[in-house]
Amino acid sequence: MATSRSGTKTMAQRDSVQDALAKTAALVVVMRGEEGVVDYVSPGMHRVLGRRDVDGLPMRKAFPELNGQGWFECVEEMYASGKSADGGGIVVSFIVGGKPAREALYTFSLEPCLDDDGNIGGVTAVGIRVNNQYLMHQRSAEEQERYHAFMQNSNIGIWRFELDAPIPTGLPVEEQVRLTFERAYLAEANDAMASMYGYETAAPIIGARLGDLMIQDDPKNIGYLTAFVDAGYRLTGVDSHEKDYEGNDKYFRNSLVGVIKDGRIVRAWGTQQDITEQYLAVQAMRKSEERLELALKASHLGTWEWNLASNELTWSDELRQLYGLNADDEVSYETFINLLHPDCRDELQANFQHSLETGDSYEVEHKIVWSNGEVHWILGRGRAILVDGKPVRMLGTGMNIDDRKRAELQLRESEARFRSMADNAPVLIWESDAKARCTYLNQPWLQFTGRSLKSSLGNGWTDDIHPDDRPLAGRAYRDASRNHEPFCVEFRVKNRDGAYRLLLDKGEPRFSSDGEFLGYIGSCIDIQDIRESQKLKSMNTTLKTQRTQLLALNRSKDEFISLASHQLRTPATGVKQYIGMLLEGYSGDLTEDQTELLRIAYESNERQLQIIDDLLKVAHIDAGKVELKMQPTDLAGLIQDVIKEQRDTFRKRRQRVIFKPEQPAVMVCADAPRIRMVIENLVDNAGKYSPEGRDVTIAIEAGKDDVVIGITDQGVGIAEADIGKLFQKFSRVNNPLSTLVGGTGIGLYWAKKIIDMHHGSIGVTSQLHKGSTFTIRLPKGDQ
Amino acid sequence: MKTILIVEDEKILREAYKKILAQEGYHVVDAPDGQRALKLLDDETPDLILLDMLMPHMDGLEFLEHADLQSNHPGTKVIAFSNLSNQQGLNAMMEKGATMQLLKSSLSPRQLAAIVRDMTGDGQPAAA
Repeated sequence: MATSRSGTKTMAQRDSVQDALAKTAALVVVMRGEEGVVDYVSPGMHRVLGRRDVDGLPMRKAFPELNGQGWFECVEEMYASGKSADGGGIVVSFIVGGKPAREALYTFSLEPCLDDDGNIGGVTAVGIRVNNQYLMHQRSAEEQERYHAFMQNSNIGIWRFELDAPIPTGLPVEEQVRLTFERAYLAEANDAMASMYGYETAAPIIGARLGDLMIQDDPKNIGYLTAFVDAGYRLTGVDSHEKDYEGNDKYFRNSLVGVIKDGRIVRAWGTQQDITEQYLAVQAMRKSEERLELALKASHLGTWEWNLASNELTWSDELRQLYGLNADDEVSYETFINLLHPDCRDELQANFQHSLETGDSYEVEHKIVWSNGEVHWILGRGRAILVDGKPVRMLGTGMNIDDRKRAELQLRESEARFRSMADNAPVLIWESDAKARCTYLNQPWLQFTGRSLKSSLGNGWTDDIHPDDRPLAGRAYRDASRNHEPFCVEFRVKNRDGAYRLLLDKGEPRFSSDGEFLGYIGSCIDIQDIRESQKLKSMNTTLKTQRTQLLALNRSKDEFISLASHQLRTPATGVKQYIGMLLEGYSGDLTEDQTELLRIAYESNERQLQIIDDLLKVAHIDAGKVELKMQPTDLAGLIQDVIKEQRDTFRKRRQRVIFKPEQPAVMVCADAPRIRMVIENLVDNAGKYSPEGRDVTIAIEAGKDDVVIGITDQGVGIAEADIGKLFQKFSRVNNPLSTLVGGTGIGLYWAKKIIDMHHGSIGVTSQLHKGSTFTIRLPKGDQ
Repeated sequence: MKTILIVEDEKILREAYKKILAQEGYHVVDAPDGQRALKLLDDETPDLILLDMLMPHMDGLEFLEHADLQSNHPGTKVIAFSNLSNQQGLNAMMEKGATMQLLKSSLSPRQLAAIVRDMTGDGQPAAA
């Protein structure tokens, strides 16, 4: 409640003050709230402003003519600090209406309106009309010093130009500019400004003519002063080009305000910043941009921009050239899409769409088709600019990459040729990188191992190396790759059937055109067969040597046998001749007993000679010394001859040989004497191994290609167990007659050899105690 | 009387053949090797030579080569008479002029006498 009462009292006090001020010529303004909303304006103020509708407006909108005169800043400072501004007053200038309009200067005092808690709730400003002289008096010496101290300590150049004579503002602009150069001189400047011209202090330049400080002919300077006049003698942020003490170019950014008196400009105040460095930097940047532009042109890089709001597509000249368009051809999104190669439209449009949705940049290599049909490759890059998630613009570049694509194509073709060659090569080809990882294997390799490419690459393929050979293969590769040298190593690798095959692996180092080591390329060939054949060859050589030795041995044996037979035969022949002479009567008659004894001796000697003959026959045939003399032979006639020859022998045993051939002659191609000996042997055996009185039957049957002779006896027969060894060398079969018959066990062996040499066959069927049938089959051959 | 030359290094056989053929009525001369036989040919022209193959000093084949019977004794026949089962050697002797080849061990005295009679063209044996 206390607050309310004291508030009421304060407002009452204010009303009485306002009432009083309304009657004075002073300008009174009351503002409330932090924005300084105008709460009260005195009638005097209305007159000066020339309007009344300022109540309720924020101060900056209510009094735009005070902008730039420091008034608002003082009010705002008071709001911030809650205290009165130091120095008491602020001078502001009003242009008061009427003809001619005139300037009125007022000095304002500002006071805070405080509530009971001491918080600032508003500001009261009271302005009193002053004239120039008054103003000069008002400024104390102390204030002057403070002003100068501020000037001297500022980093910004501060200056004041005076004119020898005021210049009427009604003159043409060009004339005003010319007169300004002519009449203006520097009346005041701080050290910061002096330093911008290359001086240590301001003293040397005070009094300098504007025309000496500013380059008069520079359009920039003329433009600067023209702008000053055009803007009502008030400018901010305008650049000027000047020279310093040493004649160096200097660039300044200026703000200045002119003082007009009676329609004439009398002086100007201003500040300037040295922007030479920035200016030069910008210039350098521009040059750099120009260079970039040149570079873009040189690199066949074109740019485009698409305003999505206006659907306006802008292409740089370079881009037009890349797309085969003239500088004045119209371009639109549709034009662009139509120029795209049909194969590439979908991809590029998808990229556009994605970028428009996300703002992501894209990069696509695509083909375009010029109107003349030429196809070119473009590397397109672009990006949509989104604002609040919506695309507003799209920017991009296009670059011709024909050369690169051609190179890539050639590389691909070359690569394809290599792959094709490698996949059809009869060798296993591999490639590794600098880190010894397998990067390529040809089809023959994969077919060889039966392993997929994926599982073979890297180090996968080494799983197929024989575990015993892995260290050897690895060492060969490592040793060679240390010095980037070729290598050659043999190791076993498991093939798809699970069998290990010996491979000869040759690796050659690969280098880039810069000489960088890239790894190895190598080929493997399966040398298992070669190695085995080498082994065979070696074995063959050994065998040949052994054969030569054996042949030599055999020759020695043959010679021995030949010699031995001669040596054995000679004494036996001697016995034969001498007993023969006795038996054949060369020494007169013998008694019956003598004859019988000599006959037994003679027969025994004969048997010895027979054994010697048989041994020789076997030795000959085993040594391969028997050469058949093939000739047309009548087998039937041959059998008849044998029967005739052995007739007496059979008759003695009261045996008959029954032979009734269907044809008088049965021809084959054979070595007749030897076949005859075979048949003699079989017929003789048939008789010998048959009891007396049992007949022997001989049959002959001619087939289409061969002839079969069967010799059947009714003899002792052969046990089944003995049949197998019948035709073996020196084999004797026990039977009731064998001891009586004798024999060397060579006859059937030799017979089989002879028949085999004729490409025929010999066999026997037999029943013990009933008889046997020996069968000879002989091919007819060429007769 | 027909003359038979026996060239045989084995004395026991040489004597046997001499005895058999002499009893058969032939004039028999003999030599233990090829060299001696060649010398005999200077004085004799045999109707038949029983020529052993394997002998010291000069074997049967060399004898045939040196004797040149075709030129010097065109009427003389030769039996390559061997106990050696060397078919090649026997064939070579046949090429050098031997008329026939015989294995010594295969013939009894009468069989030998019969062959000699055939070769010399004598129909009847001198002894029974």
